[in-house]
Amino acid sequence: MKIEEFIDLFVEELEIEDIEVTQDTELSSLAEWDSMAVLAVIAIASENFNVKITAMQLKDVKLLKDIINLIGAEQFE
Amino acid sequence: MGKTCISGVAIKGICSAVPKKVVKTDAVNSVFSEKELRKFIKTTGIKERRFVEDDVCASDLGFYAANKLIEDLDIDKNSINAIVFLSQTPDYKIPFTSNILQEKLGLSTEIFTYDINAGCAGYISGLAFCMSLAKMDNIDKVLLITAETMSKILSKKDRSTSLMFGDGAAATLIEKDKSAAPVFISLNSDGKGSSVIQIPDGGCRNPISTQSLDNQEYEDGSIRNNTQLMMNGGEVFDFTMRVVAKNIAETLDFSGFRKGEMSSYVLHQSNKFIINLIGNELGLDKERLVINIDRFGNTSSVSIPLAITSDLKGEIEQTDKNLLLSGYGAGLTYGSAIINCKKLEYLKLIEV
Repeated sequence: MKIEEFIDLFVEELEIEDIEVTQDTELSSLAEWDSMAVLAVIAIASENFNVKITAMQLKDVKLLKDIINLIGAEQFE
Repeated sequence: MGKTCISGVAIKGICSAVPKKVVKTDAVNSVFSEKELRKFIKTTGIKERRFVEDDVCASDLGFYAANKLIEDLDIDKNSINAIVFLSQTPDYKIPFTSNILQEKLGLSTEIFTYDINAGCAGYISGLAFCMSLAKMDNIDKVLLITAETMSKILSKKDRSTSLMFGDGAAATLIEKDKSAAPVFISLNSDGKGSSVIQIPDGGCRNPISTQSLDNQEYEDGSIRNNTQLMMNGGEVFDFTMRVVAKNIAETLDFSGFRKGEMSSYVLHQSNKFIINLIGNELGLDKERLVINIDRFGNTSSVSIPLAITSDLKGEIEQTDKNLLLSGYGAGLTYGSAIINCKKLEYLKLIEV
């Protein structure tokens, strides 16, 4: 998966509207970044990358690219 | 992990009782936006729950369930030798509730009465305890009543619990029966997680004070006081993912059964997303996973017997089918049990 495709999936799953999301987007700036979003990201990582990430790891992330790094940058094209 | 096998006892019947009052998740409120509610329902699966009226306690629901079970199975009340009430929402701090139920149900005064304080893994520990009682000499029938009125301990403005939990009760009759198939049980405790699901004040560690009732605002926007339930959802989720599938696989190994020999997997109804993840990890067919969380939410220790009565009635009674039950929650504790349904004569769900 390309990073752009991952961002599209993130936006779609979290139902983010009216905001341009990039790797540098601060998660805390998104109204949609809540406990349901954490579960959605865990599902994306598991279903698309077969990578297990924990809710506590996601508690510490600041930027969208931190999630990409948690999944593993090498997983992306 | 602690594992055991109990022979010579069987579950004869289960009656669950839920309040008539339905609380819809998508009802408009000031805490969650419509979009948040929609996503919550999509992920957790919780469309509605049952809440008691203010003057109804967990033991009242338990009373209705037990009374119906005793009536329908036409049980001589003097033949019930022990009653166990398992709940986190008892009537009083003192005295305990099972002795109140002994009187209310009209049971003999010559009876063992016990209360157990346990959460979402409680049905497994309650079964283990009641089955070991039923193994004792001169004890024939044991009544296990699990009951919760979670609605009474929630803050409506708490973002991790207010939409999650529901009320209900279940009465389970356990009886000595020499020809019963063995029951396999695993019980486990991880006490370092004791603060992850907690009501901080009101016990003797933090006695109730005027500050206990102060509403506090938390990082996620939740507002609650220290006499209300708090849950660190992330920690609980990670704990569940770490232990439950593994525990189920180990319990199957211990029993000698293969996973395909279980007709249904009745997991604690914590969250549809979590139940499906555990099912995926174990490689289970979706139709073997029992899910009733859409109708009742998370009813703590009641969820497993409630799911058996709501979704398996007419399918398993007096058959040779095996069920795998698994509970996990406050403590943090977790456990699984494998039961055979041959001696199970009666399943019922009532609204009260």
